[in-house]
Amino acid sequence: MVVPADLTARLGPLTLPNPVMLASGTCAYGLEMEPYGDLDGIGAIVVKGLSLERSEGNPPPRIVETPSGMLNSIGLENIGVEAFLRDKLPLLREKGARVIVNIYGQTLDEYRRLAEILGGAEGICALEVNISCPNVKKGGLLFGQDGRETRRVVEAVREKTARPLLVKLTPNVTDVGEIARAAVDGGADALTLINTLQGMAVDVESRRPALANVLGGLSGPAIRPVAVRCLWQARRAVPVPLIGVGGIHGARDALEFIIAGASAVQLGTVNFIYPGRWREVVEGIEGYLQRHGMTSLSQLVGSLEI
Amino acid sequence: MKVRVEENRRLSADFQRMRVEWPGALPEPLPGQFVMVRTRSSTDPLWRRPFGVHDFSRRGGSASAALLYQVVGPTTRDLAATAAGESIDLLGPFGSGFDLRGKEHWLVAGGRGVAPLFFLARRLIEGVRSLRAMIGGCTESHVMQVEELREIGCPTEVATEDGSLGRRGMVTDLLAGGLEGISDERRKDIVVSACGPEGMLRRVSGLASAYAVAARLSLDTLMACGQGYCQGCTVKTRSGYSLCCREGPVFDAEVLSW
Ligand SMILES: Cc1cc2nc3c(=O)[nH]c(=O)nc-3n(C[C@H](O)[C@H](O)[C@H](O)COP(=O)(O)OP(=O)(O)OC[C@H]3O[C@@H](n4cnc5c(N)ncnc54)[C@H](O)[C@@H]3O)c2cc1C
Ligand SMILES: Cc1cc2nc3c(=O)[nH]c(=O)nc-3n(C[C@H](O)[C@H](O)[C@H](O)COP(=O)(O)O)c2cc1C
Ligand code: FES
Repeated sequence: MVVPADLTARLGPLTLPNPVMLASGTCAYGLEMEPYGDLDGIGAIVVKGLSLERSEGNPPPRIVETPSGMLNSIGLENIGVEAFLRDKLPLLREKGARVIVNIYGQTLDEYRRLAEILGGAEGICALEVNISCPNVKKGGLLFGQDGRETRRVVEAVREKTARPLLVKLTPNVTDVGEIARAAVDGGADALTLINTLQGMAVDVESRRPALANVLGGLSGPAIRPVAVRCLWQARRAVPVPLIGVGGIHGARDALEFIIAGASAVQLGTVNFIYPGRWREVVEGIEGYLQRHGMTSLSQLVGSLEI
Repeated sequence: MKVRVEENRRLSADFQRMRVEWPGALPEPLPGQFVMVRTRSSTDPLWRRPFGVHDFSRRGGSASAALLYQVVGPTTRDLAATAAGESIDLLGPFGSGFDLRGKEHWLVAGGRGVAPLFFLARRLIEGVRSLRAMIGGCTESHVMQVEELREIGCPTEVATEDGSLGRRGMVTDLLAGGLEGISDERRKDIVVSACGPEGMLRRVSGLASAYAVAARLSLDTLMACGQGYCQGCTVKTRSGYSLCCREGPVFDAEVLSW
């Protein structure tokens, strides 16, 4: 008889029934995923990055396909935190979705105010602080590429909320471990890595950049080895739980992150192509545990042998 | 979702038409809506590709949809090589449809733009609306479905840039001539529905505003998801950005800010 494995994902103060989440910016506000399966079956949904005011985002073209990947320069288009709380969150709660809100600000004060507003809202299970978006000129990149700035942002948010706090890191740095330590020193409960890799593509016919914003963020299977490497480096640098994201297309890919030290994973770009894939990844992880005689996910997390 | 290919026919050097079974689990498509298709399980190319629903029919308990496609790259090459009995991976239908209301409909297509307009013509004829079609292309082999449109009862004019079929010139010349030749009173009743390359749609939009007729344009943008997840397919409208895959692909010409 096959014993069901315990898939509970433990992320410090946050516990999820399974370790498969949907990554910010790749599932809109979550409700849009409903045609592909009940939302309460997803470990957690990380909604599109929210700012204080609604934001229009960058001019088109905003996306371009690259070998086994894509570049985007959406520019953090979003409806704003108030509209999210009013129009989206109640519906997500009704469906039993576990909601993680991804936030970004241009200044420390904006991060503080976002944390305050969301700190009081019912039905949010964690905040994920985006200090790593490469698209907004004055925003994320500066914070997430510097240890001191990273720590200041995380402290600012931590002061304003007691909610579980995830901090999402950029791979566009020399030493991921240093930024990971800074985020943990600032009060992060867990770290999410990675956000997109900065990239660029040229349309050779028009001799113009493929994206109106010139630079964009690379995602998809092409970045997976970089993401696994970053996760592993963070694993060695800090003791907090980690969430792996970057190029996961199926269960096997998710297992790479988990074995390298991730307590949970996020699916991003794959949602565009196979929107129901999260379910197969959950089942695939469970099947793997059973095949290897493990009774719980925690036995697999960080089991990498070198 | 895997769907079975029922028929796949070559129409000209680079156009094909494919009929696929339409599973009961999918909502019935409206003219103007599209599906997202994938032909390979590898991650290159990564994205699905959008194709307008070209036709839809029910026979007994089962339904089928047709796609009309121009072979331009890996996905359409794979489609062309798919035999009846094999399957393709398809999601949808997505997006907004054309406007079926209005007294008189003029359908204007450039090249592969005829794909969704044929389905529109069929629905309009079922509703006994007055309609005509104008089909254009650079050359004869890019002008598709003219006989089929006439067969279902849609009067159809043709223009090619090299004069190899129908009138020499652009399809928008046909539209301009048609609009010029009628009264202001009649123009009020006309809805122009157009699909084709951007340059053509811009001219349709210009003519529609010059002659004060309503126009609905089906736009083509790059799409990663086709269903509102990525926010990559934005189109600039007078009231800000809209997603081509959700609010579109069919837009009122007057809301676009070109
Ligand atoms: C809503 C919608 C409906 C469509 N319906 C149909 C249809 O019914 N029939 C049909 O034949 N095609 C249709 N298309 C276009 C079709 O999706 C593309 O031609 C598709 O990219 C073909 O895929 P491929 O892998 O064969 O070639 P690809 O490699 O994707 O494309 C071949 C070449 O075209 C270029 N290209 C493709 N799309 C664009 C774009 N938007 N802007 C600039 N360059 C581009 C690529 O860069 C490449 O050089 C539709 C597009 C949209 C948005
Ligand atoms: C179109 C798009 C939009 C994104 N928007 C956000 C965002 O708003 N906030 C954020 O933290 N990450 C955002 N990301 C990054 C993803 O959450 C994820 O970290 C990254 O894409 C790598 O994972 P993947 O390869 O599975 O897509 C976005 C990614 C894409 C492709
Ligand atoms: S194609 Fe992704 S939102 Fe339109």
